[in-house]
Amino acid sequence: MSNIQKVLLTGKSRTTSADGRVLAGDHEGGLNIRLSAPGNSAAGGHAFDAIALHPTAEQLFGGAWSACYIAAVGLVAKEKKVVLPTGTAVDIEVDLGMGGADFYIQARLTLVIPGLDHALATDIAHAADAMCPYSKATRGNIDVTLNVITA
Amino acid sequence: MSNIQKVLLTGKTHTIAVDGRVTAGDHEGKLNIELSAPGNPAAQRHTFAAIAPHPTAEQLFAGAWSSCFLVTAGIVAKEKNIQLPADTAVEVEVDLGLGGAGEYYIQGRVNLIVPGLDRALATTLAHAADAMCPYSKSTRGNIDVTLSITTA
Repeated sequence: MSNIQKVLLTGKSRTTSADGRVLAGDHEGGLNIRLSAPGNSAAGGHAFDAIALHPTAEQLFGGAWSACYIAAVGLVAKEKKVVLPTGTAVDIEVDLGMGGADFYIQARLTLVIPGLDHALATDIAHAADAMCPYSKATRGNIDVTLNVITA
Repeated sequence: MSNIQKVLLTGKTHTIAVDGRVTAGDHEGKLNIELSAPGNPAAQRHTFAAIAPHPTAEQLFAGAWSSCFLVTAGIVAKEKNIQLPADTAVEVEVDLGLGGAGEYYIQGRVNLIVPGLDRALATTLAHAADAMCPYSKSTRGNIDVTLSITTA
Protein backbone atom coordinates (compact mmCIF):
# COMPACT_ATOMS: atom_id res chain seq x y z
CA MET A 1 0.00 0.00 0.00
CA SER A 2 1.37 3.40 -0.95
CA ASN A 3 -1.65 5.62 -0.98
CA ILE A 4 0.07 8.91 -0.22
CA GLN A 5 1.37 10.81 -3.22
CA LYS A 6 1.90 14.15 -1.44
CA VAL A 7 2.79 14.58 2.22
CA LEU A 8 1.00 17.55 3.79
CA LEU A 9 2.68 17.49 7.17
CA THR A 10 4.51 15.18 9.53
CA GLY A 11 4.04 14.88 13.27
CA LYS A 12 7.22 13.80 15.03
CA SER A 13 7.44 12.59 18.56
CA ARG A 14 10.09 11.09 20.80
CA THR A 15 8.98 9.04 23.76
CA THR A 16 11.16 7.94 26.62
CA SER A 17 10.36 6.17 29.86
CA ALA A 18 10.69 8.58 32.73
CA ASP A 19 9.88 8.25 36.39
CA GLY A 20 9.98 11.99 37.06
CA ARG A 21 7.87 14.83 35.82
CA VAL A 22 8.54 16.41 32.48
CA LEU A 23 10.02 19.86 32.97
CA ALA A 24 8.05 22.56 31.23
CA GLY A 25 10.26 24.63 28.94
CA ASP A 26 12.42 21.72 27.86
CA HIS A 27 11.18 22.34 24.37
CA GLU A 28 9.99 25.90 24.41
CA GLY A 29 6.84 26.31 22.38
CA GLY A 30 6.56 22.56 21.96
CA LEU A 31 4.39 20.03 23.64
CA ASN A 32 5.56 17.98 26.58
CA ILE A 33 3.11 15.62 28.12
CA ARG A 34 3.65 13.19 30.93
CA LEU A 35 1.44 10.28 30.08
CA SER A 36 -0.17 8.14 32.68
CA ALA A 37 -0.35 4.46 31.91
CA PRO A 38 -2.76 1.62 32.58
CA GLY A 39 -2.27 -0.30 35.77
CA ASN A 40 0.38 -2.76 34.81
CA SER A 41 3.83 -2.93 36.28
CA ALA A 42 5.75 -2.59 33.02
CA ALA A 43 4.06 0.64 32.06
CA GLY A 44 5.38 3.62 33.97
CA GLY A 45 4.97 7.26 33.14
CA HIS A 46 6.05 8.32 29.69
CA ALA A 47 7.40 11.61 28.51
CA PHE A 48 6.01 12.67 25.15
CA ASP A 49 7.94 15.47 23.53
CA ALA A 50 6.42 16.89 20.39
CA ILE A 51 9.26 18.17 18.27
CA ALA A 52 7.60 20.85 16.16
CA LEU A 53 6.03 23.97 17.59
CA HIS A 54 2.38 23.37 16.99
CA PRO A 55 0.92 20.06 18.04
CA THR A 56 -0.99 18.56 15.19
CA ALA A 57 -3.28 15.58 15.18
CA GLU A 58 -0.40 13.58 13.71
CA GLN A 59 1.81 14.42 16.68
CA LEU A 60 -0.91 13.36 19.09
CA PHE A 61 -1.31 10.08 17.28
CA GLY A 62 2.47 9.64 17.15
CA GLY A 63 2.56 10.28 20.88
CA ALA A 64 -0.18 7.76 21.59
CA TRP A 65 1.39 5.10 19.41
CA SER A 66 4.93 5.62 20.68
CA ALA A 67 3.87 5.61 24.34
CA CYS A 68 2.02 2.38 23.78
CA TYR A 69 4.81 0.92 21.69
CA ILE A 70 7.48 1.67 24.30
CA ALA A 71 5.32 -0.01 26.95
CA ALA A 72 5.08 -3.06 24.67
CA VAL A 73 8.86 -3.00 24.18
CA GLY A 74 9.24 -3.04 27.97
CA LEU A 75 6.89 -6.03 28.28
CA VAL A 76 8.71 -7.97 25.54
CA ALA A 77 12.12 -7.16 27.03
CA LYS A 78 10.93 -8.41 30.41
CA GLU A 79 9.66 -11.66 28.85
CA LYS A 80 13.02 -12.11 27.12
CA LYS A 81 14.93 -11.12 30.27
CA VAL A 82 16.62 -8.28 28.39
CA VAL A 83 17.63 -5.21 30.38
CA LEU A 84 16.90 -2.15 28.28
CA PRO A 85 19.58 0.56 28.32
CA THR A 86 18.73 3.99 29.71
CA GLY A 87 18.85 5.54 26.24
CA THR A 88 15.93 3.42 25.00
CA ALA A 89 13.48 5.55 23.04
CA VAL A 90 10.82 5.33 20.37
CA ASP A 91 10.68 7.91 17.60
CA ILE A 92 7.54 8.02 15.51
CA GLU A 93 6.80 10.18 12.52
CA VAL A 94 3.23 10.24 11.21
CA ASP A 95 2.61 11.83 7.83
CA LEU A 96 -0.72 13.22 6.75
CA GLY A 97 -0.82 13.11 2.99
CA MET A 98 -2.99 13.00 -0.05
CA GLY A 99 -3.45 10.36 -2.70
CA GLY A 100 -5.43 11.98 -5.46
CA ALA A 101 -8.14 13.82 -3.54
CA ASP A 102 -8.08 11.40 -0.60
CA PHE A 103 -6.47 11.93 2.80
CA TYR A 104 -4.25 9.20 4.24
CA ILE A 105 -1.74 8.80 7.03
CA GLN A 106 1.47 6.77 7.04
CA ALA A 107 4.09 6.22 9.72
CA ARG A 108 7.70 5.45 10.50
CA LEU A 109 8.59 3.83 13.83
CA THR A 110 12.16 3.76 15.07
CA LEU A 111 13.09 1.79 18.15
CA VAL A 112 16.33 3.17 19.61
CA ILE A 113 18.16 0.72 21.90
CA PRO A 114 21.77 1.88 22.18
CA GLY A 115 24.32 -0.89 22.57
CA LEU A 116 21.96 -3.86 22.30
CA ASP A 117 22.72 -6.68 19.86
CA HIS A 118 21.04 -5.68 16.61
CA ALA A 119 19.39 -9.06 15.96
CA LEU A 120 17.97 -9.09 19.49
CA ALA A 121 16.77 -5.50 19.14
CA THR A 122 15.09 -6.40 15.86
CA ASP A 123 13.34 -9.35 17.53
CA ILE A 124 12.11 -7.06 20.29
CA ALA A 125 10.93 -4.44 17.77
CA HIS A 126 8.88 -7.00 15.82
CA ALA A 127 7.46 -8.66 18.93
CA ALA A 128 6.44 -5.25 20.30
CA ASP A 129 4.87 -4.38 16.95
CA ALA A 130 2.86 -7.60 17.11
CA MET A 131 1.70 -6.77 20.66
CA CYS A 132 1.07 -3.01 20.51
CA PRO A 133 -2.67 -2.27 20.08
CA TYR A 134 -1.97 0.79 17.92
CA SER A 135 0.19 -1.24 15.56
CA LYS A 136 -2.60 -3.82 15.43
CA ALA A 137 -5.27 -1.17 14.89
CA THR A 138 -3.55 0.17 11.78
CA ARG A 139 -2.14 -3.12 10.41
CA GLY A 140 -2.68 -3.46 6.68
CA ASN A 141 -4.50 -0.14 6.48
CA ILE A 142 -1.57 2.28 6.43
CA ASP A 143 2.08 2.20 5.36
CA VAL A 144 4.30 1.58 8.36
CA THR A 145 8.10 1.38 8.33
CA LEU A 146 9.76 -0.18 11.37
CA ASN A 147 13.41 0.71 12.02
CA VAL A 148 15.86 -0.36 14.71
CA ILE A 149 18.83 1.71 15.84
CA THR A 150 21.40 0.14 18.16
CA ALA A 151 24.43 2.29 17.35
CA MET B 1 -14.85 -7.98 15.77
CA SER B 2 -15.16 -7.79 19.53
CA ASN B 3 -11.70 -8.50 20.75
CA ILE B 4 -11.88 -6.66 24.06
CA GLN B 5 -13.28 -8.59 26.98
CA LYS B 6 -12.04 -6.25 29.70
CA VAL B 7 -11.64 -2.48 29.34
CA LEU B 8 -8.57 -1.17 31.17
CA LEU B 9 -9.11 2.52 30.62
CA THR B 10 -10.88 4.94 28.31
CA GLY B 11 -9.56 8.18 26.84
CA LYS B 12 -12.33 10.70 26.24
CA THR B 13 -12.08 13.92 24.30
CA HIS B 14 -14.36 16.72 23.22
CA THR B 15 -13.11 18.65 20.21
CA ILE B 16 -14.48 21.94 18.90
CA ALA B 17 -13.40 24.40 16.25
CA VAL B 18 -12.29 27.77 17.63
CA ASP B 19 -10.75 30.79 16.03
CA GLY B 20 -9.04 32.11 19.16
CA ARG B 21 -6.43 30.70 21.46
CA VAL B 22 -7.33 28.15 24.07
CA THR B 23 -7.65 29.75 27.49
CA ALA B 24 -5.55 27.89 30.01
CA GLY B 25 -7.47 26.93 33.13
CA ASP B 26 -10.69 26.11 31.35
CA HIS B 27 -10.25 22.54 32.46
CA GLU B 28 -8.10 22.80 35.53
CA GLY B 29 -5.69 19.95 35.89
CA LYS B 30 -6.62 18.64 32.50
CA LEU B 31 -5.18 18.87 29.06
CA ASN B 32 -6.14 21.52 26.54
CA ILE B 33 -4.20 21.59 23.34
CA GLU B 34 -4.62 24.01 20.51
CA LEU B 35 -4.03 21.95 17.42
CA SER B 36 -2.62 23.42 14.29
CA ALA B 37 -3.97 22.13 11.02
CA PRO B 38 -2.54 21.47 7.58
CA GLY B 39 -2.73 24.25 5.05
CA ASN B 40 -6.18 23.77 3.71
CA PRO B 41 -8.92 26.36 4.16
CA ALA B 42 -11.38 23.94 5.75
CA ALA B 43 -8.99 23.09 8.54
CA GLN B 44 -8.94 25.60 11.36
CA ARG B 45 -7.53 25.36 14.83
CA HIS B 46 -9.12 22.90 17.19
CA THR B 47 -9.41 22.74 20.90
CA PHE B 48 -8.60 19.34 22.29
CA ALA B 49 -9.83 19.08 25.84
CA ALA B 50 -8.96 15.85 27.57
CA ILE B 51 -11.70 14.99 29.99
CA ALA B 52 -9.80 13.02 32.63
CA PRO B 53 -6.93 14.56 34.61
CA HIS B 54 -4.11 12.40 33.32
CA PRO B 55 -3.49 12.29 29.60
CA THR B 56 -3.16 8.73 28.46
CA ALA B 57 -2.13 7.44 25.08
CA GLU B 58 -5.81 6.75 24.43
CA GLN B 59 -6.67 10.41 25.01
CA LEU B 60 -3.97 11.51 22.61
CA PHE B 61 -5.25 9.13 19.95
CA ALA B 62 -8.83 10.24 20.60
CA GLY B 63 -7.66 13.85 20.25
CA ALA B 64 -5.98 13.12 16.94
CA TRP B 65 -8.96 11.21 15.62
CA SER B 66 -11.59 13.69 16.80
CA SER B 67 -9.78 16.74 15.42
CA CYS B 68 -9.31 15.02 12.09
CA PHE B 69 -12.93 13.84 12.05
CA LEU B 70 -14.13 17.38 12.79
CA VAL B 71 -12.09 18.79 9.91
CA THR B 72 -13.50 16.11 7.65
CA ALA B 73 -17.07 16.83 8.77
CA GLY B 74 -16.43 20.47 7.84
CA ILE B 75 -15.17 19.51 4.38
CA VAL B 76 -18.17 17.25 3.76
CA ALA B 77 -20.60 19.90 5.02
CA LYS B 78 -19.08 22.43 2.65
CA GLU B 79 -19.40 20.00 -0.27
CA LYS B 80 -23.05 19.39 0.58
CA ASN B 81 -23.77 23.07 1.26
CA ILE B 82 -24.71 22.29 4.86
CA GLN B 83 -24.28 25.06 7.40
CA LEU B 84 -22.86 23.45 10.53
CA PRO B 85 -24.23 24.82 13.81
CA ALA B 86 -21.85 26.92 15.91
CA ASP B 87 -21.67 24.31 18.66
CA THR B 88 -20.70 21.43 16.37
CA ALA B 89 -18.35 19.06 18.19
CA VAL B 90 -16.88 15.61 17.96
CA GLU B 91 -16.45 13.39 20.98
CA VAL B 92 -14.25 10.35 20.70
CA GLU B 93 -13.74 7.72 23.35
CA VAL B 94 -10.94 5.20 22.92
CA ASP B 95 -10.77 2.15 25.18
CA LEU B 96 -7.66 0.18 25.89
CA GLY B 97 -8.66 -3.35 26.79
CA LEU B 98 -7.62 -6.93 27.08
CA GLY B 99 -8.69 -9.90 25.02
CA GLY B 100 -9.16 -13.37 26.42
CA ALA B 101 -5.49 -14.37 26.09
CA GLY B 102 -4.23 -11.24 27.80
CA GLU B 103 -3.52 -9.45 24.54
CA TYR B 104 -4.07 -5.70 24.20
CA TYR B 105 -6.58 -4.04 21.91
CA ILE B 106 -8.15 -0.66 21.43
CA GLN B 107 -11.68 0.22 20.37
CA GLY B 108 -13.38 3.54 19.70
CA ARG B 109 -16.66 5.44 19.84
CA VAL B 110 -17.08 8.51 17.66
CA ASN B 111 -19.98 10.89 18.32
CA LEU B 112 -20.69 13.74 15.91
CA ILE B 113 -22.65 16.48 17.70
CA VAL B 114 -24.55 18.79 15.36
CA PRO B 115 -27.30 20.40 17.45
CA GLY B 116 -30.43 21.24 15.51
CA LEU B 117 -29.39 19.61 12.26
CA ASP B 118 -31.81 17.27 10.53
CA ARG B 119 -31.03 13.79 11.78
CA ALA B 120 -30.95 12.07 8.40
CA LEU B 121 -28.68 14.78 7.07
CA ALA B 122 -26.43 14.50 10.14
CA THR B 123 -26.22 10.74 9.66
CA THR B 124 -25.23 11.16 6.03
CA LEU B 125 -22.64 13.73 7.08
CA ALA B 126 -21.19 11.47 9.79
CA HIS B 127 -20.85 8.50 7.45
CA ALA B 128 -19.28 10.59 4.69
CA ALA B 129 -16.81 12.07 7.19
CA ASP B 130 -16.01 8.59 8.50
CA ALA B 131 -15.31 7.44 4.94
CA MET B 132 -12.96 10.38 4.37
CA CYS B 133 -11.15 10.73 7.72
CA PRO B 134 -7.66 9.13 7.53
CA TYR B 135 -7.83 7.97 11.15
CA SER B 136 -11.14 6.21 10.53
CA LYS B 137 -9.61 4.66 7.41
CA SER B 138 -6.42 3.62 9.18
CA THR B 139 -8.32 1.59 11.78
CA ARG B 140 -11.12 0.28 9.53
CA GLY B 141 -11.79 -3.40 10.04
CA ASN B 142 -9.07 -3.69 12.67
CA ILE B 143 -10.84 -2.28 15.72
CA ASP B 144 -14.41 -1.96 16.94
CA VAL B 145 -15.76 1.50 16.14
CA THR B 146 -19.22 2.81 17.02
CA LEU B 147 -20.34 5.90 15.11
CA SER B 148 -23.16 7.90 16.65
CA ILE B 149 -24.90 11.21 15.98
CA THR B 150 -26.30 13.72 18.44
CA THR B 151 -28.69 16.32 17.00
CA ALA B 152 -30.79 17.12 20.06
